[in-house]
Amino acid sequence: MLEKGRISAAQFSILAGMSVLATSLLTAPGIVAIDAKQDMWISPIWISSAGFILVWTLYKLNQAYPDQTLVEYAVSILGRFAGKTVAALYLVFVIFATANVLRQFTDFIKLTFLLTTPDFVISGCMLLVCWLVARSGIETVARLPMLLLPLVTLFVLMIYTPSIADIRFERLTPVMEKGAVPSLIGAFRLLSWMPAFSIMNFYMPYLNNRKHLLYWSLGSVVVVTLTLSVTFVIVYTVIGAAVVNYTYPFMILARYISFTEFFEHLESIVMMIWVIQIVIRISFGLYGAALGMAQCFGLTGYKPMVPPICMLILLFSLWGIENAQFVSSPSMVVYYTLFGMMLPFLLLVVYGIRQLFAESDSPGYPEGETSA
Amino acid sequence: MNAPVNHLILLIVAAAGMLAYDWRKLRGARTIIAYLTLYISGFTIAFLLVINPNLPGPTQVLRPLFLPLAKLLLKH
Repeated sequence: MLEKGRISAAQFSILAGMSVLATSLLTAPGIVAIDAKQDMWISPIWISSAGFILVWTLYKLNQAYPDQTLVEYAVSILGRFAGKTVAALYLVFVIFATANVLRQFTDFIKLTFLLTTPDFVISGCMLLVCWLVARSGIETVARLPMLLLPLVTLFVLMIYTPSIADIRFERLTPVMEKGAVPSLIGAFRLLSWMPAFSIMNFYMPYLNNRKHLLYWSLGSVVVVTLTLSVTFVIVYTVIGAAVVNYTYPFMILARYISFTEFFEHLESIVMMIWVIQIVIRISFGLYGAALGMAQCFGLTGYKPMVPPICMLILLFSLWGIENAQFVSSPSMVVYYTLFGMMLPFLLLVVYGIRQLFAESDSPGYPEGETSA
Repeated sequence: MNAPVNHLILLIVAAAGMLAYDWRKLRGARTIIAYLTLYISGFTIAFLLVINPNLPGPTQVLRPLFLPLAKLLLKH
């Protein structure tokens, strides 16, 4: 095994949950509201079913191959050539998705705080931190979120609590005015975040209490869904239909807060939440990609893979992208869904079919046949 | 033409520094091959991007590939 460290199911689920929430908290409201309007808070509930299926798929695959990641069991399931190809495509997806997150972060910082700093300085500084986290091993990657979770929770509550006074629930009516379709389209747009859960497969073999794995992973999906839903409710009831006009509605919420005239300018808190979350998200993807790449090449350690992958993430985040808006474009969502959700599911289907044939074949073999 | 030359020098210095830092830690032929594969592909992309920042990237390849499916799903 490439990794000696062990993490607990709780650390694992906090890591996954915070990683998925990282980019969705800030940018998702503006994107989902385009179609879903006042029904936008229903969209995360729709999409949670996709999250549950994904987590269950990964859990089943992990039960079948307890000590292997997706890169390894793709080879076990599909054979050497097809397995390696699928694994390589999946690794490109992980690197590309992480690069897109980095680009969203760079754009956010460039548009709101550091207006004249060059792109690659912001992303380079961020990657330097993530490089340090990822090369320290799985335990650092998984314990960092646990350490920072109280801080993030406190900051998020500091944004939510003062805005309670401005909530107008009548803005959410009429519920489902045009049926379920608008909220379903909003849910489709949320699919560009849910596939990040598939990176969990790189961490599943290193759990020390695996019997709690399913409950903690499903719990992580539930928490993500509820946090998104509550955020959408607060954002829509405070800002109203104008949410669509903002790229970062969460930021508007923070600017809007004026509490007894000294509790103002909470944008810096949003930036702190965002930086913490993005460090966690990128190290989540970076560690997974480095481990997967090492397993794909059959190496003895994953650490040499971290710097070149950092380099690739930095390049992919700048290469041929005009702005971060493209992440939510339908074709990107389809790409994310295909690789993040369909690929593990198809692997499970192929594994199931193989098991079925192995079982129906085995009685036909003579007694001495033990190789199967 | 002055800016790209400076940027190229900066890029080469950074890339050389990265390689020098990592080189001592690389053990075994497989590791070196894997490292160099990623490193050289990254360096090539970076080099081309400095010369021509508007180089079409993976996004331009993926978009037309998945656009028909995306249109099918979002048609309403």
